[in-house]
Amino acid sequence: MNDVLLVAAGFILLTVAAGLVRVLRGPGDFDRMMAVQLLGAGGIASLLLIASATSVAGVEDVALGLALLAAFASVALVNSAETDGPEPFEGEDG
Amino acid sequence: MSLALDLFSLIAISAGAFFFFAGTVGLLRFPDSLTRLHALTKADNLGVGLIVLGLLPRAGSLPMR
Amino acid sequence: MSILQVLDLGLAILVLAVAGWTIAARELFASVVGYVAYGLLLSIVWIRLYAPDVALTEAAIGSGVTGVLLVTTGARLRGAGGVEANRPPGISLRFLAPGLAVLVAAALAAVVLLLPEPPTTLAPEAREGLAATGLGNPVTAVLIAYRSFDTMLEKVVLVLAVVGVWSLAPDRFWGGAPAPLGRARPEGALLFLDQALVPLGILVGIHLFWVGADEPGGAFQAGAILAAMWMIVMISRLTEPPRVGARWLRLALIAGPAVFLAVGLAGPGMAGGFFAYPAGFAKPIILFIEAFMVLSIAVTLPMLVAGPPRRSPEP
Repeated sequence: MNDVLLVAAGFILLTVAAGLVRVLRGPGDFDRMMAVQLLGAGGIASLLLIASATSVAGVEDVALGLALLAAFASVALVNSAETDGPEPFEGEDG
Repeated sequence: MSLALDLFSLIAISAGAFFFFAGTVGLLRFPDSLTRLHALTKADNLGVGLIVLGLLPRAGSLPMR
Repeated sequence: MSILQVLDLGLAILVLAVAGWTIAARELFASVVGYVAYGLLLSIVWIRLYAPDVALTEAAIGSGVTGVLLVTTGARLRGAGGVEANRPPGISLRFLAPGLAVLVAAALAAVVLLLPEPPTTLAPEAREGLAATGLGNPVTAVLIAYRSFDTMLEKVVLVLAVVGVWSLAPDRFWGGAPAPLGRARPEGALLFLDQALVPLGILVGIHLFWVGADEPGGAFQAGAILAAMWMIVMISRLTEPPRVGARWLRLALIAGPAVFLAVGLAGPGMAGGFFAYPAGFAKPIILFIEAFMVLSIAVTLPMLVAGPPRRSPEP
């Protein structure tokens, strides 16, 4: 059963890698932002599978934290993207 | 009973991996940023849900302290 | 090769590829996205190294908060007039930075590969001392019991960082509020995310603090998640960054290191040494310290991202 979990984790990492190639190449900021979503979902899945296969304890909290932080990073990246981000610093004595 | 649980895990994890695969195919093939975003978020997160479901039988019971 | 080794090899190649792309990226936004992606992948590597606490800290601080800090500051600097954003770095910097990075990596690799077999480690002694502290998580024991002075000084460093960021403000703005984090008109979807995600995130943060005594978790990770939730609320303009001169803010910032130091100074009276905890009572005291540390970290990190004050204190 452990082997099945590791194969599934490897497969998911492979899909993440393929997705990353497409997403990081994509012209413009909007495509690149999707990398965080991709890694959030794929990372959680492979994290849980690997931890269950190699018996690492307490990894559910890591997965929860990863989910929250992927969401937070996505929000902050959208906020700071090229088109009208947060208020800029002034040039003179800023 | 354990065999049935293992079978359930196997099916759920395979379904989850399939949805990841489908999401990535969509990510690679769709023409537009917005459609790619749809494939990525909907399919991948469904895959995560199925995988978590499949790992539930292996988790043991919640320790009560 | 076993499946696990193939998996490890694939993971290592993926991490190196993402790191290479991050270095080669042309724009700030692209490289920060690569950096966040690299951090999230690295937390999987930490799980492979059987270090779930480090994995959580990597995801929270290493990629989450630091990435947001970089991208928010970069977006603000982009709008500033005097910055020559598109001038490529000079030739010496282009050789010095990668050269130093390679040197550090090579030194680390040499140290790890040349460790004696079996490696000398204090892990068994650390585990043996756990019973006296009443904790179940050796990482928390190291941070708050065995090396508590070190951890307290790290919290003081955070306060100094905030003071440093605030001192970038011109005199007329001192005491005022930083500029709003979010855009002028937030979308409805963001407000919905607030209602759905932020309460859950606060719950998870408090849970991580509480469970950190016995399982992976702890004050730093909990504080980072609470900080992330506050920043989401600030980005959606439901609340604004507080005035830098506000008394509650300043009290919250120093609460962590102050309580930590107070407990340490009370050590000679309680248990016979600076930073000593009385036997049998160690865990409640440790949780007490950690509670205030969580508060300080949850307030410090958003203040670092919010930046120096950009409004005058009184209208």
